[in-house]
Amino acid sequence: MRFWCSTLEEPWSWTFRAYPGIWVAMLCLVVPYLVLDRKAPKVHDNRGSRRWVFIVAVLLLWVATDWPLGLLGASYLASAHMAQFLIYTMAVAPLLLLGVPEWMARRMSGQLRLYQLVGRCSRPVTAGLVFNAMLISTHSPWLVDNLRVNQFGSFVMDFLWLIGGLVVWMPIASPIPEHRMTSYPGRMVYLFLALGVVPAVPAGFLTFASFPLYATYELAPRVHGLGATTDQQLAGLVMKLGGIPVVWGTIAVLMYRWSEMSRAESAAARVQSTAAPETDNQHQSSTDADQ
Amino acid sequence: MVERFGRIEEARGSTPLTSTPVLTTRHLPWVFKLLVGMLAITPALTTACADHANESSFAGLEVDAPATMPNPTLTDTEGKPFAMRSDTQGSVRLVYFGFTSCPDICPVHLAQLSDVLDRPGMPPNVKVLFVTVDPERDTSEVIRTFLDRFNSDFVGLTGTVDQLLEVQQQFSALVAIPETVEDGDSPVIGHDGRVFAFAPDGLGRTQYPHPTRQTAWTRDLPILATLR
Repeated sequence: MRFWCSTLEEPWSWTFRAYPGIWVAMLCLVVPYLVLDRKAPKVHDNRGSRRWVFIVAVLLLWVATDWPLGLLGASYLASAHMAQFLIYTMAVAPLLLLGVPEWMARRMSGQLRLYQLVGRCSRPVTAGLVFNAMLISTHSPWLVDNLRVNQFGSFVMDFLWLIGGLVVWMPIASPIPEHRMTSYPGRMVYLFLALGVVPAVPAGFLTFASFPLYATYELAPRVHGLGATTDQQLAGLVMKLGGIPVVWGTIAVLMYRWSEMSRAESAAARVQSTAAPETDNQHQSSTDADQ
Repeated sequence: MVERFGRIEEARGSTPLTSTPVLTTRHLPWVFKLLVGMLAITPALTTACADHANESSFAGLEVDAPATMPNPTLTDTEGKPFAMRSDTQGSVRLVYFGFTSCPDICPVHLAQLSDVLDRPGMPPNVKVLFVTVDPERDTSEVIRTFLDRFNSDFVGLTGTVDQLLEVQQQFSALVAIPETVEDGDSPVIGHDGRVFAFAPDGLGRTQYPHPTRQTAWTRDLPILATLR
């Protein structure tokens, strides 16, 4: 019995495999959340929807970590490894942040004495650098080949992905408002740089490399006859194209909200400017009447 | 998600009191340096694991005293006699002893060879000779079907148990030991995991254990093909 998905020597099979360590990890996320959520202050709204968002995030995390995708990614296919990475960083991480209410985030970061550390990591420059350092290191052949061979190493890699994903989304979606970026253009530039530019480099290497870079996937028994080089090119495409809908979708939403805000501000300014002469006129007429 | 946070901020009536420092011009030089640094180390990290050639002329295990390839005659998948050396004159011969129900090493070796031989620039005169060590289960049809999963040009060879035993000894391979299995179970056969490489001059120059990466094959096959 293994507790976490890691490299296997045997051929891929669709026979179910149980990884109890993954189930325990998921329970360690959900149970404390639900217990804390029952003690939620009543003033906080959106409680139900937040809870659902969190549960969906944990379900996605489970799907990306457990059999079959977890085992395929840990042992057989670079493309599955990349799909896991995308689910972790582009779906699970932002949804987890959205699922945690502000009071819970404050309480947890206070109890764990993490408030300052989280605050520092939430700075856009720091967050972008931490995420991209994590991305590049956890996709280097040396680290992948050495971590994926054992269960603990594989767990460490998954954990790093999750932490990196949470850090990179913090300036956009942190439950603690003062940890979020305030400017819309800043957020858009940050998303483009942190999640759009640097990831394209390793993706390009994977797509255009002449040889399989990862020994783990090159020397694994083939899955349905998919060649190692083709699989790696597929992984590069997944990495390059998979994040586009999330990153550019979020940028589009930010752009829309920015334009809405600007429109509202200019409308408010117009109202103010039209209200001011009326006030002046009223003041003038009352003075005339007095006279 | 952004919409949701936008609403929360609007509901608050203002932006948060303590704003996070965003990118300022003060940060830009070192942000730029770090980004350039990251981009620069990516190639190094992504190629760090690639097999680097050692000082030897081959990436495979070089044989100190190359011996001439034996020339036993076995039966190919069309049922015709096949002399392993004389029927492959002028080619690089890659001889491998395996069995079709092998769960791990055999399929990986053959898949690697198939991928490598499909690459541009590979010599055309490479013959892969797959010799079964499980003649009872590996009939000609079974071997052909198995090899066609990888490459239809791979040559499958079989013979009697005694013949195959002798051939393995001639090639100095570890002789395969079939284990008795219960009905329905796949056999587990301990066998030699090396691929024996013979240049067109007939000498066994190198051997390739499991696992051998594609970089090693791609480096050695063109060199082997020139040794006439």
